Amino acid sequence: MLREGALGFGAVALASLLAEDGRSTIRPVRLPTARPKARNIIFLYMDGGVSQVDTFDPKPRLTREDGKPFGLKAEPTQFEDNGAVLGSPWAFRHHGQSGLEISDLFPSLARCADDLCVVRSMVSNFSEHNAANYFLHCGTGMAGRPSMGAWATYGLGSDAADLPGYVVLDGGLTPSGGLDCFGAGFLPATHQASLLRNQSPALANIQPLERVPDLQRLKLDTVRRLDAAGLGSLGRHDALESAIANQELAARMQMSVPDATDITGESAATRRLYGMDAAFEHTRSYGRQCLVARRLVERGVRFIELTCPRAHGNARWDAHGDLRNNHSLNARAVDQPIAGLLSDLKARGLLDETLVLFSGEFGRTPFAQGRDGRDHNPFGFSLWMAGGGVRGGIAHGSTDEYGYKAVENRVEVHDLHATLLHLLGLDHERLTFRFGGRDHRLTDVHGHVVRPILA
Amino acid sequence: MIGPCSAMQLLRNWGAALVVACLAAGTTASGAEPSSPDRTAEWEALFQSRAERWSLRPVTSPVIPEVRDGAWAKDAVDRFILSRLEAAGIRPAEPAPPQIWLRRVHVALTGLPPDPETTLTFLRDPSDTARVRIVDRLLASPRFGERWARHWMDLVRFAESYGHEQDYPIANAWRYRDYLIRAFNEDLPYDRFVAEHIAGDLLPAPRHATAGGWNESVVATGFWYLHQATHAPVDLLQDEADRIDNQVDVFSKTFLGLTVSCARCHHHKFDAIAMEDYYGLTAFLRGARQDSAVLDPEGSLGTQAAELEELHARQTPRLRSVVRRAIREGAPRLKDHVLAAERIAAVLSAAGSTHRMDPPPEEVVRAAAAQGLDARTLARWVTALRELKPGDTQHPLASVVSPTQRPPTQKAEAAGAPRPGDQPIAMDPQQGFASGHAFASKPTPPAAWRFVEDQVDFLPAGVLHSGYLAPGFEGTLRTATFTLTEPHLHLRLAGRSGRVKLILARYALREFNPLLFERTQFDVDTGGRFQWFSIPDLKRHLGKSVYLEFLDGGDGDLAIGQVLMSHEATPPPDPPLLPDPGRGDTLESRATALERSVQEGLRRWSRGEDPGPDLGRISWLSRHGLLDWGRQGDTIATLAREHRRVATAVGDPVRALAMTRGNLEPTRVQLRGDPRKPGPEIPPRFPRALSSSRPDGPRCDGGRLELAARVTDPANPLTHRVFVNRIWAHLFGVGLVPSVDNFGALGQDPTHPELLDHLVVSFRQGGGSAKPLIRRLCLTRTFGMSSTPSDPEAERRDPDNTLLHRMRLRRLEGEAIRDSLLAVSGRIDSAMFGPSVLTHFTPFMGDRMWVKNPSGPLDGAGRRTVYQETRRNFLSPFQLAFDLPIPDSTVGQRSVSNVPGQALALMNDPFVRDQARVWSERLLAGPPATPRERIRSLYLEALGRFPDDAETEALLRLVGHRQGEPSKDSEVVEETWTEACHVMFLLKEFRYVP
Repeated sequence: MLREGALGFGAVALASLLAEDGRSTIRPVRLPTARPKARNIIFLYMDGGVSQVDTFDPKPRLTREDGKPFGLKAEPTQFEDNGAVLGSPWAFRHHGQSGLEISDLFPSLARCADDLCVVRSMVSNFSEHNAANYFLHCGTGMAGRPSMGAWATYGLGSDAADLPGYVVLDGGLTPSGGLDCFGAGFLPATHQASLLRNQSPALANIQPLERVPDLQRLKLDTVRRLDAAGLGSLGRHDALESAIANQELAARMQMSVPDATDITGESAATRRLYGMDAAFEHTRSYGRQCLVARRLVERGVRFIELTCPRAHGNARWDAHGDLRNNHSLNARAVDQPIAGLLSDLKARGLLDETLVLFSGEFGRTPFAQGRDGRDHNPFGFSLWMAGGGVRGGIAHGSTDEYGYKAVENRVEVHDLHATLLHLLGLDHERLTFRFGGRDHRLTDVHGHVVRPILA
Repeated sequence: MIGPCSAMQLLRNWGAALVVACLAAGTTASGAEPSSPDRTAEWEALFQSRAERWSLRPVTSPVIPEVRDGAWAKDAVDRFILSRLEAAGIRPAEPAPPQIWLRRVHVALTGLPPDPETTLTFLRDPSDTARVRIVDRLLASPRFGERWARHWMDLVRFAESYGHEQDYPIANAWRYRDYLIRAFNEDLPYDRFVAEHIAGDLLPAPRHATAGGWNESVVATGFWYLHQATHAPVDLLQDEADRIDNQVDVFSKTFLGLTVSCARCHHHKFDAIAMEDYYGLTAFLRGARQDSAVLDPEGSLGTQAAELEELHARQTPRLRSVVRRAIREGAPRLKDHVLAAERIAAVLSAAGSTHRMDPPPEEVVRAAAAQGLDARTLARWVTALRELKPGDTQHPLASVVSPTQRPPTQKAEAAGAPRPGDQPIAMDPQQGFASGHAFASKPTPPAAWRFVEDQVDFLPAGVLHSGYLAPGFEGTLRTATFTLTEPHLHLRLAGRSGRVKLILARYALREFNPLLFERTQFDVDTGGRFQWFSIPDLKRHLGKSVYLEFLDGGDGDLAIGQVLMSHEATPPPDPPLLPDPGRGDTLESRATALERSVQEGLRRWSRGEDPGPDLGRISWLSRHGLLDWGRQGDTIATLAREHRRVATAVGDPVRALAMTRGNLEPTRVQLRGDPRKPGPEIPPRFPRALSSSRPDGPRCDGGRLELAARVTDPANPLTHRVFVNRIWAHLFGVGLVPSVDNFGALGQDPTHPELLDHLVVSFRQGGGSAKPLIRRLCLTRTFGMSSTPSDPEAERRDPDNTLLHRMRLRRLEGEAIRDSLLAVSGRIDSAMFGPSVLTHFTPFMGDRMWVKNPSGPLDGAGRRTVYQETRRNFLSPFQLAFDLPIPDSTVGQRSVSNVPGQALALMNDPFVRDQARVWSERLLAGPPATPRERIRSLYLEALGRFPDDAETEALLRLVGHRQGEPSKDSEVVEETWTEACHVMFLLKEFRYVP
């Protein structure tokens, strides 16, 4: 039981929770169980599912057989409107010293090829967006479980003095499945993501409502005085002291959150680096998100997720038709900002301790949906990581000749989760929470750390 | 077979009718357990040792312990607590001050603070009798049910939408919430409450709602279907298995405190639960179906249906003799109508006229008068002929008008000629797969008829017709479950605004989104004629268990002639053509033949026989008002009026989310939890660890009545322990078994096992309902203790307070905080029940443009939080900040977090700020008072006590901070008091009760 009154954001608030709700058997892991390689994670969530065969998994056979019937047995698809083999509209080239192949969709990112650790053999368990989203974020296909970010702050607390430890930077599109993708599930509410908008105010309830600036200070002083007096009738309790401390922290957050999201102090060169002078408005807005992500990393926020801008209306990367236009617009929005983020982090020495993850909830079919789209494909897709603890300039695993199913070194979503936690210094089998009668994990009863990609 | 003990229990719970029904309908379970993994010697040994766990042993009747300080104990409960404290050498805390006890008991029982009068009265006389009075009044308050229903809603993952991508609504979920509020307010005995949840639709003597009169028991079954769900699942069987898994999970945790779902893929890792126990429970759910129950308020619909049935029986002979008489008099004079109408139609066409026929125009009136015909009937004939398109071979009059045109058929074929590849699907509403009154009658007899808008409609025999007695009744008819062995379904249907659904693997979201299942739902609008409809190309669903639903939503009718499962992609051809009575060389000869044929058909009908080949046409002519009954027309109109008097104003039923019975489907163990790997077949069964001493009993209706009997059987040690423990946890903050949803090996052991069993015994003796137990516990010395320990030694020896040496500080739940804000501000609207107040949307709840939501009011219309909408994708941020559980599975014990987001919400949420303003306005509108007096009111209303001098001074400083400004300015005065009210909301004492 905690006796001190001075309270930080995550750890101590949690401890007081444990004392008060009587479930004293719950003990968070708190301390890393292995040497951490990454302190923070930035998850660039690519909503809707990026086509692997058009981005990071070159398949010449598709080009050769473009328009011909698909040579393998097709699994059931979401729209059951399967067409012929569809060759990629984009050329692939070798980049960097590593010679990693990346398609022409990502000209800026390609310059960071030697930092990218591409996994070409990802598989998911679900063909529908929502279930696949819950799975990617929370390790199960249903809503209601803690998200990766929640597990990370539960396991490690937050290094941010007066910011939440798990932040979602809202680019405009909330994923299918809604905010449950970012929930704390059965973990205490403190671990749920704070959704920061791309405009002001960024966070709900962060803006004082008092007409006069000093008035809130006066009120809070009054509250503090009255709370202190009230302790006489309430008695001394950890929970009360935490609540009082949280009141102060909340007041500070009214300053720190706008400060963290305010980029007016960033140099013109930095803004350019992130594409904030681009002609395409969604490049500018995603650039701003990436820049804010770096500012949050600097402030110790543990887990940051970026959602996508409306580069192609509501379609996200979900190119059921019009693949060429859809992926062009989406890539145009994120390419330069992400390249800017990677190089900026590197320049500031932050990339070593920050893991950047780029992934959708699944990939897309190598055969067409209708004429010019691609349907959902959970059987094989690509993602990449960069920075904290992973090898750069490599491609791990492979799909079949069509890019349809992972065939070599399959990596399941549970394995991804195990690896992310490992990089943070957490053992996915020991990071547990007792709920509803059993010890839950992000990885359920699955998951293996993907050792070959570790630096 | 049913044992005497179990029969007694059934009798006690639900009356004799059930036992009879059960015995009559019951087929005894094949006593043989499947020869499967759960019988291996290794598992058997494990099972036996695990079945010895304390929670599975019978409930005992412990001796009330002796204590040294006998004066301290008011109740036996206090003795159980005190004896453990004395043994540990700990002195219990002092009694809490009266105002704290008062606030504590108000929050615990109603989730609201005491009002000032109550506080003042009680503080003057905080005696034991006054406490009894307070507790009794709170238990009798409607607010009690609102508070305790919400506790229960956490257990059944209550929500009003399915979540996932589109967040489709769960229709009428709020009725279940209302059910809970009534059940807790009426103190429904728990066994009955449980039985209604599990099998409320099957109980032979259901309860009826005190206000409204509908079948209340059915409403409880809605809880099964409050799960999340996704549309267009690519793997339908996996999706179904996941939904059923959630149902088993919620059921077993809520009622039994067992985590049966842990045995989905393998035997339970820690408890005496085999995979067979899990799949045995899923078998009950596979014998059930989701229903939008059609409930009959005050039984008025049933009365009306019975009246109509009786009227129909009385009118049938009368109508027949009238028709007989009309034919004898030469009616209906079809030849004359056809010839006259054709002449007029030709003239009108030549003139290019688009005359309206209602009222009949001059030329029609003249022609009718000349021939002694009814002008309005003739006008309808003119319309009918003019509307007949030259190529319309389907038209019943096609062959009359055009000699080259042969009608495809004349029969009102409700059925086609079967082919070798066709399998008829049987349907029988008497089997009990109908809900509502629309399909309540039997298949139509020969020479059936009904009134449609004052015209006689002649119906084929053997048809299930939702509009047989009257339009306006709502209802659903379902087939028995059948296995899809052929890829096509063909349905012979007639109707207006009817709907048909093929239910595959219990998938219920087709109605919202056609993706992947487009053809499994369609609407029927045939204008009364029978037509074939097809649900083709079900090849990828072959082997699945399916059933059909036929729905009449009350604004039309639906008649079902035949349903075929077929190898053929096209429906059967229409029956061979019969000699056409309408053929001939001239219009006159064809019309004469038509008249003779129709008269012959009607003559047969009037003798109670099937009218024969021309029924379809007769029916069509009659429905369209083309039969002129001559002198008998008035009598038929009289009969129609008689019918209309009873048939109009069919009342609206109450619709509720519910479970309804289906037939038992074979259920198989799914090896490693994979629905594509079926193992041995398994009958519905209750977990063996809870029924080892008893053989399987009889089953009827999918076995859920039996399941309910097993759950509530006093020999089952878990059900009452779990419930009593939940009540304890809500009152004392932590359960006697702290893991309230898990009494298994991973749960925690009881801190006071004897006390738990003592309470179970007394709970049962007291009638097994919540209120007496709550009353007793609130009046104990233990409940009245201070939350501050009496001596530091106590904290050292019992640091986690497991022995309960003091009461626990409680933070109000999010609902109680919001409700208290409304109560204190005075904005609260104490209206009860009804559809939920729409969620208020803010820019911080995620922007998903494809989910369209009208936003509700900022203050939720002042209604209590239990009446606010719960949408899975748009849960209230305020409530989430205060630990509203995600509605996924059972949560008996909420988290109590302590985060800055809570402070931010109370500081800056416009709702909170708004309530401060409402409160200050109310305060200032009251009688004139000094600032000091007002501050006293603030404390009294918000915290149930008076401020001390320091507190008063601090607030005086705040309200006086704008003294420099013109003091007469009422806006300034109101603003400063709004700030003061807001400060009260921010005090820790406002949301923490010591």
